[in-house]
Amino acid sequence: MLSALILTGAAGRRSSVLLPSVLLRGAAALALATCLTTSLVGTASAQDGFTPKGPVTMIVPFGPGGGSDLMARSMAAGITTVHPDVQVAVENRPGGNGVIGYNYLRQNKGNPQMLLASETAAVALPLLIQPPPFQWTDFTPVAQIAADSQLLVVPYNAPYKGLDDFLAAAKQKKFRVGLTSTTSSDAIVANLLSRSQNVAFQPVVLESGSASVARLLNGDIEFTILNPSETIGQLKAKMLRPLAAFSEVRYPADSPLGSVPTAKEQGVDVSFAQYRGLYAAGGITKDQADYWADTMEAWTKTPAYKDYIAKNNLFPEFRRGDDFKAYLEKTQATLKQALKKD
Amino acid sequence: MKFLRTSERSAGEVICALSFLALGAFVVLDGLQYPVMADGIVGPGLMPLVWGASLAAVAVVLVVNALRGASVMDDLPPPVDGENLSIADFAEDDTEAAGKPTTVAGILILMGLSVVLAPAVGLIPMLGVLVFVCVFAFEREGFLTAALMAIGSMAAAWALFVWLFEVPVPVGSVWQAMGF
Amino acid sequence: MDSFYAIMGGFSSALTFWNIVYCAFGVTLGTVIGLLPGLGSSTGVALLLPLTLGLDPLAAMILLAGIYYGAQYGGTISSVLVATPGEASSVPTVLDGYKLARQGRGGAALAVAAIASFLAGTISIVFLSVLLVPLAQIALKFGPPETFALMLFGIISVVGLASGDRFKGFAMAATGVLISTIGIDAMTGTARFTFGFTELLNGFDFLYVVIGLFAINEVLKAVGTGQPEPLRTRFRDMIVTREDMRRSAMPIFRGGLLGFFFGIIPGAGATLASFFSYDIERRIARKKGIMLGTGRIEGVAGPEAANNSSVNGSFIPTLALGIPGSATTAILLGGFLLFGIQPGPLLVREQPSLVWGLVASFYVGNVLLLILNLPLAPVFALMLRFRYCFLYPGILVVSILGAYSLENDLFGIWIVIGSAALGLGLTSYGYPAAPLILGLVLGRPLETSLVQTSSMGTGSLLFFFERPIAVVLLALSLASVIVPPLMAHLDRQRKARSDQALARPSR
Repeated sequence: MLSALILTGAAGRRSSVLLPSVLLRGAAALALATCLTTSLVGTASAQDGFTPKGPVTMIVPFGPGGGSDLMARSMAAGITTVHPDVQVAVENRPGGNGVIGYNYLRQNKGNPQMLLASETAAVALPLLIQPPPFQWTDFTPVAQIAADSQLLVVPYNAPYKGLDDFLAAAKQKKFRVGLTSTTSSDAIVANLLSRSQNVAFQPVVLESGSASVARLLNGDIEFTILNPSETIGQLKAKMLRPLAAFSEVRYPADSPLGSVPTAKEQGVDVSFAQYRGLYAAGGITKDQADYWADTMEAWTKTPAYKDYIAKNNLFPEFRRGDDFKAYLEKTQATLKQALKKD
Repeated sequence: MKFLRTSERSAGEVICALSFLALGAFVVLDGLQYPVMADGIVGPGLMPLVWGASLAAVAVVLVVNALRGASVMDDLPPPVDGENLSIADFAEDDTEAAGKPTTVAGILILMGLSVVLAPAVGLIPMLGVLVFVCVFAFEREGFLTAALMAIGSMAAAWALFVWLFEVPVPVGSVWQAMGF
Repeated sequence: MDSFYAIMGGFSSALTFWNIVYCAFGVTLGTVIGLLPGLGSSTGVALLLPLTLGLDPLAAMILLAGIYYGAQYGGTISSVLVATPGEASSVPTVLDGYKLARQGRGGAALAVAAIASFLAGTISIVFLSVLLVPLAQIALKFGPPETFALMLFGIISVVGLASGDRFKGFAMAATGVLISTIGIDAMTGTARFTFGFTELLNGFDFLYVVIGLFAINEVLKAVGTGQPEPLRTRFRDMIVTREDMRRSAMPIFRGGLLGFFFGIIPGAGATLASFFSYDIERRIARKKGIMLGTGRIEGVAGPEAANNSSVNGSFIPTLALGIPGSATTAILLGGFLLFGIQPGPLLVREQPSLVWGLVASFYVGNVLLLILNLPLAPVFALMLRFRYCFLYPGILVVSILGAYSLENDLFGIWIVIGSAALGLGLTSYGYPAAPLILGLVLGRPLETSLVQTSSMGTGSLLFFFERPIAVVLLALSLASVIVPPLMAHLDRQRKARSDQALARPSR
């Protein structure tokens, strides 16, 4: 009800709205939909087997404001753009490195209206926690919508200017690296880097990207590995310096990160990208999974999607169905390698 | 805190202190399964060990104090008259009010029942029952008053939590089965 | 001084008609959210963030800031009237606020809380606009070793809270810390003390314990020991007096300063600030022979001021460095991202009207709350004129639903029932509830910062000695364990000696 109230107010007030008109129309439609929910139930057209009825939930296994949260809210808005009469409620269920949220999805097995904004943790967590709390095969991987790569970041006034200087210095002294957890993709990258170059790092688990930034600025750690969206402000302000991107190719030239060389360009064969994508509960029919995959595919053609990719410095990568499953299997193999205890 | 009779009071004091001792000891022993340190990095076992041990140590002092019958109310200033009230005055007149321990137990049991039956009957209806029983059976305020209170609080709860804030409160499988 | 002009500009962009309407709407809605336990301000802000997408960024932020402030104040109302704090930082408010309400001074307590928030907001906004950049450097100095030392100091020095017996206070605080270790440990992923319950993997949310230990415990205590008489105070007695204001002035000033500086430290600023402020007021009052915890206005004014100004303090690292200073500012930063605004150190320069408009709107939210609540506070407080047997079933319903809505899970209500039952036993033997909450809230960050310190020292806790601030704080913690018993011992000796001296001549 509250949503209807606020959005009606927002749509009704036409002045100084900075958002793309698509979103605004989406918002207006959502407001209308909420007001009329009761009268609309059941009248939605059922053209291809499955149409969601009533509210759809999208779980975020992390807290509000982070990368997963942003992805969930963008996907939720995207679903409403494609199907104006489907409303998606985003629900944050953080805790236990994501276990809580995924467990909740597992409890909703067979419910086609229970979605989850997923990233690499879905594959990494079962490898790390004994006994595994879940497997990604317990769910229905619907589609990958983007790839999120990471940067190696050092203080702006650090003496090294490239990855080679950095690695040479790291062999003299055990460098401390700020990580968000021992299982997150920054930890995976740090691990891959340390194995491929035969240097040891001291992990310092700081729980969030912004905490890593603060410690880096105070000289308490030597470097950290971050998603671009977590640090681009400090990079622009010349407080921190990116030494390498761990993506396959460089960021597009028009992005502020276009000038950052990849690790591969610098002769270090380490690349890793988190996938960002949509999961549905396990045990749903092919029709139901296809409905959501179609919706996501339609969304990737909209300007709102391109905007999301550009603003968050992601790589647009779309995979669906079996393609996505094959990709997940490959990721699982890479992670098994990277997370292997010595 | 002079309101309880000394014998009752010290028995309770000893039980409380002993429970803390047991808790501390349990945490220390059960916590031994977690590594305390690994390569100089603090492990998941350190906090349970340190705090469990400190709790047990303090609990020993509490047990001794309770057995001595002295609660160490260190350096309390004497109450300034008129300006102040001592803590004992705030025990809400326990000595004269008989009190209703059965009601306390009843409320706790009713709350438990609400949780147990909520998936079947719905949380808000169960809370209506809770209100009704409290007002009608515990407080003996008359059937009509109790029923009105129950309906009123159910309506208010629905309006605030379900309608305004869209909390997915369990609606109850019984009603769904009956086709509501 | 530049930022002073900037903030004036902020006020001019915040004070448009529509923005004030949004702010008023947010404040009202926030008050309702805050009144209901379980729906705290960060839940409220997170809940509404996606819904404000249709607004322009400043208006949306103003709405959210209004919700934040309203929720804080709503939490104060429920803390004072029915002993249900909505956040850990308003736990100290309960200690005296609830007693005041039961004495018929609830209206005054609420009014003082609103005035304290407003005055503390004024103090801290001046500091914020003048000292933004230099203070941000201090925020950076507070790393894991400092956080650990500060939290340890907090837990140890505050255990005497609201009760005379330090041992009992410590037992409760230690229990709180131990409860906080339940669940998946953030560092290694080990599931500790879960006994096979998957619900426990996520740990205990302290709010369940707060609802059980305060709200329901108060009901059970009242029902079990004879219900309090309905208040017969007249409306006039509910209004804040000049005497109240005179007594609150210094606590507000101290609390405001304390809160601002604690707010700068990223992490658990607000909670520590309000507990410390209460502790300081307790110590100062004791010197004058006044006992806090018996319904004293100072015990409401100090923590409320601290609580509120810590919000402005937490804006400093957020605005100057792009590093969120509290859970709520983290969500607001996420909100910036949703609007495509990249938070970071350049934000103040690139989007001055947005940034200072937001700061100004926090202040405007404060003023609106003051205007709304000075007349409304006595009206809210009149609620206590109902007979208690009609009041408590309502408190139970709201507490249970609030506990459910925290995670939309029935399991939490079991925690509430359990902590109410255990709490009833413990509190009636003089075990204070507040230290347990403090231990529970600070336990996780205490452990986390200790692990971080040991890994920053690459496997050596001697790293503490490289950090002067941490060393000082650790020394203070040690002193607060050793000194009071030592002083008491010396006192007793001196007394014994003078007794002897008195006794001898008479023999």
